Amino acid sequence: MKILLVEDAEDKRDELCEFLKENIDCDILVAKSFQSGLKAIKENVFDLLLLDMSMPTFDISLSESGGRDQPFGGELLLAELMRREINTKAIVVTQFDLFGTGDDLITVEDLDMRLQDTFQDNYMGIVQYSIRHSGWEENLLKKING
Amino acid sequence: MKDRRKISNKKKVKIQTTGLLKKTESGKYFPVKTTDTSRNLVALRPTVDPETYNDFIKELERFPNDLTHLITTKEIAISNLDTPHLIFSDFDAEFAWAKATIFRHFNAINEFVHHSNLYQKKLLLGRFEEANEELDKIENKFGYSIWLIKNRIALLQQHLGLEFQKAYSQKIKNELRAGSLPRFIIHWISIRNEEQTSVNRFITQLEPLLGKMTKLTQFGYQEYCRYHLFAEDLTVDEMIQVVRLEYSSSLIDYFESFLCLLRGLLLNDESKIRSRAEHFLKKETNIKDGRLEILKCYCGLGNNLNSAKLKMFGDISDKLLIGDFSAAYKESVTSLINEPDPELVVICSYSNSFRTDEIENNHQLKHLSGKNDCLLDKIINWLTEMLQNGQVSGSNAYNELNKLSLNFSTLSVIDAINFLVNSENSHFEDNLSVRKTLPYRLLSVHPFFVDSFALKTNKKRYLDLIESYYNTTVSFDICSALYHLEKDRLPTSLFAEQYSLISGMMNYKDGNYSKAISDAEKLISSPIKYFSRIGYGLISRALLKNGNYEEACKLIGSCLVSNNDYYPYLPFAELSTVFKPGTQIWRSVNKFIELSIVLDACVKHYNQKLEINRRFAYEDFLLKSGVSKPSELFSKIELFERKKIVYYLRYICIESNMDTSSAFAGGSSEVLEERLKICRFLLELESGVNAIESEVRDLVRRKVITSRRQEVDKSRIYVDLERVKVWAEKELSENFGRYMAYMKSNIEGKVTATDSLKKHEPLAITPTSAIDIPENEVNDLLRYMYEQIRDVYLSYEFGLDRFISTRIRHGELERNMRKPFQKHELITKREYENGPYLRNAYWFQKLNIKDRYFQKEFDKAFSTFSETYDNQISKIASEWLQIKRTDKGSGLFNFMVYDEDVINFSKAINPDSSLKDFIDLVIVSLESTLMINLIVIQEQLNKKAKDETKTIINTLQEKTQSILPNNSSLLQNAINQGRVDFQTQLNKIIDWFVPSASGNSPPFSIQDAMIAAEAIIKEANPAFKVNDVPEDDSIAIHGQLPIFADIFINIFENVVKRSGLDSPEAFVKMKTEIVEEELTVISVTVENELGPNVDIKQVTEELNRKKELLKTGNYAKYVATEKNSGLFKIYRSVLHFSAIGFDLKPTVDFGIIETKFFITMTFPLRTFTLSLTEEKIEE
Repeated sequence: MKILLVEDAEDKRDELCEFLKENIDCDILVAKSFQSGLKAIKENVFDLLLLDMSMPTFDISLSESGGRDQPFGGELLLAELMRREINTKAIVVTQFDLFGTGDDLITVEDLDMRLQDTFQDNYMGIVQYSIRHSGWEENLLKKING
Repeated sequence: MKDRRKISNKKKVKIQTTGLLKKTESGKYFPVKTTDTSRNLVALRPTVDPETYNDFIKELERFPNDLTHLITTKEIAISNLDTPHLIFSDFDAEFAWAKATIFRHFNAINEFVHHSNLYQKKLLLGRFEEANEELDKIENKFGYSIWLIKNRIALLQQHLGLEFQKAYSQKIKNELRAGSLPRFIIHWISIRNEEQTSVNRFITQLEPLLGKMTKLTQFGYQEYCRYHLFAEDLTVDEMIQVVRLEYSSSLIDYFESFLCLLRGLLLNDESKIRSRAEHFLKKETNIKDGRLEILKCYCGLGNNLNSAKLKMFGDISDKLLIGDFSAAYKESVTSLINEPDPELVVICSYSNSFRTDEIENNHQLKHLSGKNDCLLDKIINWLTEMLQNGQVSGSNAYNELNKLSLNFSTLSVIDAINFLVNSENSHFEDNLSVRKTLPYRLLSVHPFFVDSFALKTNKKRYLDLIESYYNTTVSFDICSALYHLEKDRLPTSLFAEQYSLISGMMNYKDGNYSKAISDAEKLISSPIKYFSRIGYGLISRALLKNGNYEEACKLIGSCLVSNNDYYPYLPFAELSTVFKPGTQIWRSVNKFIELSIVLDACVKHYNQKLEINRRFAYEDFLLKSGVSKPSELFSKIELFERKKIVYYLRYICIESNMDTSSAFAGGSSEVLEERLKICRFLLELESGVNAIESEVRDLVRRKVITSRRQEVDKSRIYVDLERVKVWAEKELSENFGRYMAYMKSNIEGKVTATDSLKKHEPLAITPTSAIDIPENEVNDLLRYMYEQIRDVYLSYEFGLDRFISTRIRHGELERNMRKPFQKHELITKREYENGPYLRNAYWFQKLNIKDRYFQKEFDKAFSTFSETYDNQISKIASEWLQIKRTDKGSGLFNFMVYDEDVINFSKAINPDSSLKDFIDLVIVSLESTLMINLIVIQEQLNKKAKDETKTIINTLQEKTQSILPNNSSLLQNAINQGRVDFQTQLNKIIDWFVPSASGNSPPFSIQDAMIAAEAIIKEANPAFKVNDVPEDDSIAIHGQLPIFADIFINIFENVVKRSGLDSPEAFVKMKTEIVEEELTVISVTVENELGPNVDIKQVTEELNRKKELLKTGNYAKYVATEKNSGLFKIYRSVLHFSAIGFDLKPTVDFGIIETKFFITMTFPLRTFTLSLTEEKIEE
């Protein structure tokens, strides 16, 4: 299974990769920002996308600050899939329980419903990741295995 | 036989009342024993049968006693507007009480109505003194009422201005009890009347306060405030609460609210509810109030409308409808002088805005009453302006009208405003979104108002009522045709646009979209803007319904770039549903430049969430045009309509849209560079556009600063200061205007209840009671503005809380703090959220523990360690790294501010200060507070977090040693290693708590500002050069870069303009002096050589003159001009650098020495040392 993991946090990325490799026969391509995620989607065909929700616009480096934060970068990548008529399935893996701000503040459940409604062809669900417990591992496997 | 033990209701009332009056504590027949004499009526009324209210009131009236607080016709003192509130039992009881009270005072009410009518007429005709006399008469007879005070405040503001209005309001407030409802109402009414206040902001500011009113102790307060402050149409259940509370003020207020209740009852579709009002109106024959008469007509209880007058209305409105605008205008003006009827105001305003006769081309109505200040003139002129120009160009008139409709809400002519303003907002709604009770508030009837009714039954009832008066008129034929949706009934005598409008609307509602389009096309081409803008609204809707998507997209796009007035009439909701990425419709329109323009308008005016669609439209258009970047369009510019391509480049090719397109592999600097190219190109097309020039400066500054960055940013602290500033400039301009008006009128003494503010009183983040009003209105306004900026600065939306939440609290801190112990397999996870901790399988196997007891102890030691450590992380995240608030008392981001600080702010604001100056001042203060907070956090993490964690890890060490004394060296080594790694890791975390180098508030140096300013000047003058930029950049100017950059831009611009040299150069000297621990003074001198053609003598004289102006302070008017104002602007910017808490002031000096111009500035800066010293870390 060819997987694209879009995740900017190094530890979370490593842990997810390690977990996936231990449990699934897969090749994982890693992207650290919205732009590198978009590039990967345009240039490759994947069986599955694992998307963080909030991410920087560009990969952070010595010469690159990362640009503006994309608080819904994962959703934006899903919109790119829909716009480009790419049917790859995607799971959102996030450690947040609240998204957005002010009147637009939504819970993870609200976000799940919104993504389900908007991206029916791609979206497979949301997994709440935590470094403190391993409950997410089972959830992720369940979602991957359908 | 009569039971002697039972007493009649009448007797019961008598005994009860006597008990009340004699303050007895015995209660043979009744459950209530009244010991609190001041609440006798309040306590006793619920025990009285509503059927006997009349008798009860009669008894109380027989023995007048202040303690009963009965409504009377006596003169009421201000303090008596706040008698104890009646306790609500149910609607019918309250209604019965109101009826019983009103019936008893019809003579007094008639007197009030008489003077009130005279007051209204005189006020409208601008006879303010006479209007004031009428209010005096009402005051002499009845004393004070909320109605009287409201009208007095509005009249004073209109007639004599802010100072008098404020003095009167404060006098009233001083006599009312602190925390009382009338005091709160008067306070806000006074603010509502101020010239600078707009209705929208007023409501936005008040809504949160009303939301905090609790039902338990402030039952009905919200409704009461909405009624008085927003003039809202309340439901009957809400209105009855207002009526109940008005009982505590005056007969006038009680009657006025009761009248509103009657209207609400009559609007109801249920006959049972209507019958309550009908019953009252049937019985009531003594009150001579036209407002009650019209209600009787609605109920079929009378038909006493003035037929001659209605015929006149019908005749004039027909002239309007057949297109004889001049005649309609003249006749309505003539009649208005006699009687300011709302119907005539409507006709007059329409005909004035439609007419094109050459007699009075400017459409300004003047001296209707022979008075300069005639309110009616103003109303008609504002209505005309709004009808002509719509909500955008006519926004000034629109706001004034909205305000007037609140401040004079009791005037009947205000309903003409409500009708026209709300009609303007709801051309394409099924029903006009006017006040539901509007027709019931008028003193007569007219076909114009049929569509004001939401309920069809009410519409029908109204049609039946007006038929007998208007059945031969064109206006009646129109509303009848509309009601029956029969186009054939439309009179053919209508003027062309009016016919096309009604026909188009009917065709659209009928689903005949092609016909509606054809009607709308006629409207679009009308010279009367009113019709052309409705035409655009109609045609765009009909095109979408008809499936002409391409045409709709192109037409709406063209409409948006050609005239900004049209957008409020366009169907953004429908557009956003139709134009969705990935659909066939999208693919049919994404080649058009107009799609981006349409979606941009949808984002700006309808729903920000459509940003994604706008981004896709931006990119699709480029791709369809065969390019990937906007700059590649420059060579193809002639292929596009100029206005559209300029709009696209200026508003759509912005960084946030380009960021997510895939054309910029070079990252954010390439995006910035692209935007810079676009702005430069736009300036070539259209030079001198201030907004673009200023954007170029900002971009160049950012480019220079980014290129000077030398290391990866470790900071996790960020505030989007630009957005805070943009927000504040938009949201606070009105309040700042009010503050400046206070300053200019020197109003402080008039709006202060107590002498001065208490020192050391914190500005709580959570506000106090909703009903409290400030002691000092001027300082309170300043405090409010400060709090608003502070709250946005701290907000989750784009402020500090968002970034500490996403970059630290949510996951990052946890991952980083767990890392050192995970590395050595010391910490375990829970099985699931809130579940038990898993066994430490790694060390369990490694140490091969066999003994059951030791196994158990081993598991316990590790799970305790993991849990305690996780709790420690949680404490840091959820308690320490929080904005300090009431519910987050341990938060280390402490932005509490004291009244003393507010006073300091007020000292820093001059009459010539701008809002931008104020915002900069607040931001500098917030940034300083942030610095202090960061130091505290660093210290707390370094000391407390480190110590506590050491204890946790030592406990694990001791436990495991005691379980496995001889077999744990490997484990002990791992724990020791974990301890060391933890310390290293914590030091890295501590490094997060410095200001960001990537945001708008990085640790810039003054040198950064100089270099950025040099680059900006070089944009237009490549030969310019700055020499000797000092190397010492140890002082960081967090958040003040734009201010410093602006100063240097002004200085360098001056050099370029005035040096008289082809290659002007500036030479900079800088000196830093530490005056005391937290105070550093920076002195900067910039010099430049003057060319041989410069007349040194003349320049010296000019500079001396400017110095003189600065000395006297009379330079403010020059700052606003573009010419010859550089030194004044520099001076004003430098003045901002007052180091709060220190007396030292900034200075500016300039002049000429030999052939050199010089300017020297000194900036006193409050300084903080941010990073922890090595010793502190060692500690």
